[in-house]
Amino acid sequence: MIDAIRSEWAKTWTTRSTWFTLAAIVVLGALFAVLFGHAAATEHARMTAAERAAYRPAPDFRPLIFVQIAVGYFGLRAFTVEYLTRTMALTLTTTPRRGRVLAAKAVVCGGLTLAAGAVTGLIVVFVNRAVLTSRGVPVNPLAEPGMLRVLAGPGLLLALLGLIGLAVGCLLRSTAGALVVTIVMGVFVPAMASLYPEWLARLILSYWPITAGLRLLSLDGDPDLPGPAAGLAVTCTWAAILLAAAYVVLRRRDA
Amino acid sequence: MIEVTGLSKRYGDVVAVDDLTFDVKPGAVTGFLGPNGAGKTTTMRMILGLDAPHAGRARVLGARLADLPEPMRAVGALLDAGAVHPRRSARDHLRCLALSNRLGRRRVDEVLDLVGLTAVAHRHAGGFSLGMKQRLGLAAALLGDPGVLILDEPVNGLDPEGIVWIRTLIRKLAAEGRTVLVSSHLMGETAVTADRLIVVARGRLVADTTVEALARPDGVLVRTPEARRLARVLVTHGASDVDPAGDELVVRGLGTRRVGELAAAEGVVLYELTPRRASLEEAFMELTR
Repeated sequence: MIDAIRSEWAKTWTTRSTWFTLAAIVVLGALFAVLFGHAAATEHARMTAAERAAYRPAPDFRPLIFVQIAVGYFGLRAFTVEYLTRTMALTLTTTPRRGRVLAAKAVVCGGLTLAAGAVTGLIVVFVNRAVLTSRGVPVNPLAEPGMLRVLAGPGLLLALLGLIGLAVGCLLRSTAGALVVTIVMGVFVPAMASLYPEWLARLILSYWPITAGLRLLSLDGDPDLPGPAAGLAVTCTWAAILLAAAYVVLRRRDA
Repeated sequence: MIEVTGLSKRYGDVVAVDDLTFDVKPGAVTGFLGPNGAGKTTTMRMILGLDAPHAGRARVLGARLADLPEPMRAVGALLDAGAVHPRRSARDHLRCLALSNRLGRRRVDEVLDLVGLTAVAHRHAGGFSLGMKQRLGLAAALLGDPGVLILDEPVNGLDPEGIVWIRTLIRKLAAEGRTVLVSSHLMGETAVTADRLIVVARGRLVADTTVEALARPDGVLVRTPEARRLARVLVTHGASDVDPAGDELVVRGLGTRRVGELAAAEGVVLYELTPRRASLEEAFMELTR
């Protein structure tokens, strides 16, 4: 198993696109933290006095909606590139235990997206706070209860989304197809929540991988939505189901 | 040692491999011959555990490939020379494979040297010619110094120098006691490399034979101005089948030496006296029709 992981680790670092994708994860986080920070500041400036009094500052993780596309791409590539370059046959003759190949890719993908996600999460929070502070908008105190979870959570959430991307890449084999699924699942479905009937919107907010996972990073304590642990559990379940499906398909399918 | 027993594979209604049984023994080059689409690659993929058979089984060294602990040390395969990441260097490509089976950097350098790619090992494999990719694929197959080699059309894309090189290498690997299975759709190429031949057509085994058996002598060709007279003489001396046509004779049942002696005794002038061999290509086409 350790040899399979070392092989996957080497594959990951011997192509330049790994660097580009990891850089994209961090840069997208910083970029959208600035954009959303300014948008929030503008919105704050237009608020009435009553609205301002009710305003409760909290970290803004909307940038992660965009970051997750890069993270999903990082995950799905691990399989789709091997199918594109036809090296899958080589991988499976040198490591014929297919579960081992999947596990090794999951370890490498999970580890790197955890690290990149953790860094990106901190950048998102602190860039956003810097923008808001510079525009005179109040930010919440770092010592607020739950802030440790909010600061440590993005790595975990993005690693799970990376693993979902990995599973989708394994199932679909094509980069374009898997990327479309990642974008539709990660962005389109949650972004259109306001168009759905309320029961469906609530269902998606509570049980969709990205929206449920974002509950981990929330400080609002909304009693109608899952708490941080429950939200994380939902995303974990999605990742587990998709990885199990990927395992079954990879074992049965002709390489 | 490769054992294939009752192996079958269907794709929908199309039968790609149909109840194939053969084995490949160590210490010899076994040619796996058949026209394009005969099921050679599919059979090799099933031996390697890449595709699942609908019936039958394939064993390498008595086991399924998935049950071998470090398969590269047992089996090396070259299926598809184009299977490289275009932006990964040749050395990194081999290094990634080597790591999965606990093989060191030194072995990577050794096989690069063996296939003559040391000077270009740092270059991206995507820029390689087909011939260089074949060499890289062969290097990957040899990484684990395996006792069994499965090579699918390894001659494709090589220049004449490369063809001679790979022939020599394949023969050397077999002489070292390895089991070598080499597929090809070209009879002539296989005949000069292989000892044994397994011929398939439309997924079925049509011959499990040797090059000598397939290319056995087939009569003596004689050209002479007195074809009819010589024919009569030869028949009285035991020729079984003499077939004069113009100034040519094809004689069966007598060797070149005896035909020459009889012609001299009769004072018949000969322009040509040649042992005739059945053309391998003809034999191959006959078999696979």
